[in-house]
Amino acid sequence: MKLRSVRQLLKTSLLVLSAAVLCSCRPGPGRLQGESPPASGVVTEEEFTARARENVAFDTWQGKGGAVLAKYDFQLTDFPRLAGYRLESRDRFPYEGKGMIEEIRLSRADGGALYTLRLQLGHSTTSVEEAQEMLLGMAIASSQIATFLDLRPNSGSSLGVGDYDFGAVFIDSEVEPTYVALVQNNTACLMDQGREVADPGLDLVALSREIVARILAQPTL
Amino acid sequence: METFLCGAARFFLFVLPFAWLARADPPPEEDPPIGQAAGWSVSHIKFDHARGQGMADALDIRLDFANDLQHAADDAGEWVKGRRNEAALYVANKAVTLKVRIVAPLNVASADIEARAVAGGIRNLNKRNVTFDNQGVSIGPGNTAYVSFTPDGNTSLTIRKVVDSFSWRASNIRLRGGGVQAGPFRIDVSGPHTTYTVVDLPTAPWYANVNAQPWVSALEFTIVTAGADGKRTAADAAAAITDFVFGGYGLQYDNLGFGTRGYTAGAIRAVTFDLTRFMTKANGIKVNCDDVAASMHSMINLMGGNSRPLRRDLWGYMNQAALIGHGACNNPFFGANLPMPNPAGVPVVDPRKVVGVDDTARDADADGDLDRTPFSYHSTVLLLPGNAVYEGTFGPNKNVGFRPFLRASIDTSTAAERAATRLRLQGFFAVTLR
Repeated sequence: MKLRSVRQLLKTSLLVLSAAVLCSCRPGPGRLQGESPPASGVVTEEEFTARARENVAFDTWQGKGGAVLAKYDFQLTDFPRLAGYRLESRDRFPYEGKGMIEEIRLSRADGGALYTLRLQLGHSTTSVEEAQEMLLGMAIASSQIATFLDLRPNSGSSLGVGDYDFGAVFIDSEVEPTYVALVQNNTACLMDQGREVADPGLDLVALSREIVARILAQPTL
Repeated sequence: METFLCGAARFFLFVLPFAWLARADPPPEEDPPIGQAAGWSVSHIKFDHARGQGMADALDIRLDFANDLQHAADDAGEWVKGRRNEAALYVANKAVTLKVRIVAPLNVASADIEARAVAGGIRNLNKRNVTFDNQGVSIGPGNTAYVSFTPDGNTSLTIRKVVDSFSWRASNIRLRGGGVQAGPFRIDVSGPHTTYTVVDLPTAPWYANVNAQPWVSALEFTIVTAGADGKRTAADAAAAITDFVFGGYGLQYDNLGFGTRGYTAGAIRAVTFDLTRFMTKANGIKVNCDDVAASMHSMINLMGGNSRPLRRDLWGYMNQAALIGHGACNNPFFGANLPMPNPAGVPVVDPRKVVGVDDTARDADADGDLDRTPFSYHSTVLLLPGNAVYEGTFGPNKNVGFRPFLRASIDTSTAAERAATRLRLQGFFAVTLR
């Protein structure tokens, strides 16, 4: 083989190699991190917690180091403002080894309307911090709302109900919160009136305050 | 005469052969014509006689989350004549056996027994000789009254629900005093028996605990309501289930609630999915991607597939696609209010489902509305082998590679859009049923 042909071959190979490298490194539309699914395993608790904490400035939440109180056992009859509501279901399930979540579904029929209210009460037997992490999972990281919490006009303010709380209007025609998430001491609480129609006679923020009062009335463990 | 001969020739040449070809097959029940015998009874049938998850008989199942089937308590079988008739579940294309207790007249010492499917929906049971004790009860191995019967072929090749009865026959009946009655005689009819078939053994979340033995209610929902009936593979079933969840069940993405879960609860890596309420839409039609992924995962794996729900966080802006229950969309939280406190009643996300292709959340309009909202995270379903994506929240997407799915679904056309896709967390999560 002539020297000139060898040089030509080397030049061509170099060009092809350079083009390949350039193409593989080119950032731009269509390229995403993590384009392969994980080989196995589930999302780790640490990853989840870190992600959720960062999004909502978890370290600034009030109440850390507060007293660990006995579990508040929700009773419908404790709340006159829930008169007319009936218990649809009451389920308990574990939360990531941190405690138990109790889900209570209530409904009230009024003429042709059916109003619903879902309460989730998460209780940690060991610490306020754990209950605050439960709120992360129950109300924040399990919906898309975390993305928008930092867009609140009065970022850092709250409904003034619990150690940490926020409300939202999830129904088109309403202006009062139809959804409230809060944590008080070692109990996390979520209240949700659904998406169809909200009970015009139910003040969810006032109900939140009453629930917080019941939580605070429990003896210290 | 000539006319008559021509007519006759036409009749024999054309009409008769077609009439013979077109005649209806006699139903199995009438073939052969047999007599009826008194004093016989097929009193018990066990489909799941070995108990457990072995595939040589029916699988362990229960009625629903809260209720087991009665035969689990007394081991007397799914069929107890006059008192019980419970469903059975099989894995496709398996050789199985049934255990049957038969009562004969007291003067019968033995007989050849077989069963024919009345409507041809289930397999016939092969003929076998059965001996009877002095009380007229069949004698099975180990002093049990249950004798084993073998179907004349393997279980269905496809996912299937069948409701059919057995017509039981006896022949070669040997009497205690001597003498033989040739038969065959029709001795009893059992059923209608409901049997379900799935392509393989159900996988997690099924069989994770006693409440997660496959539910009859979930089998009925997945096979009949969701349309997995007739599918030959887990991938085919997954495609049918995807179409059903996306467009056949009246569900709608929870745009106003920022994708709050409707049927799942708990944290991320271990959610509880309320399939019981999902099957009646007891919590309403609003769902998020966790609900969609958990429901599809539960149903696909009930059919014997091996799917896993995956969460990816951050997800980012969606390319325009049909969003479950809403149609074309690139702004999944259209019309939503920001978390409170905020200006009361003012919708702060653009109310349009489709906005500018390069708009982002930070491009506030003059009125303060956000133009376009991204998904913070997204959950989808991957089916093994191959990790093919089955996506029912938008699209829908069926049997798509993970990488092509990401590239087609996530809008990365500008730097601002790419920033919203920064990968923070990606992994599978476990589902517990209730």
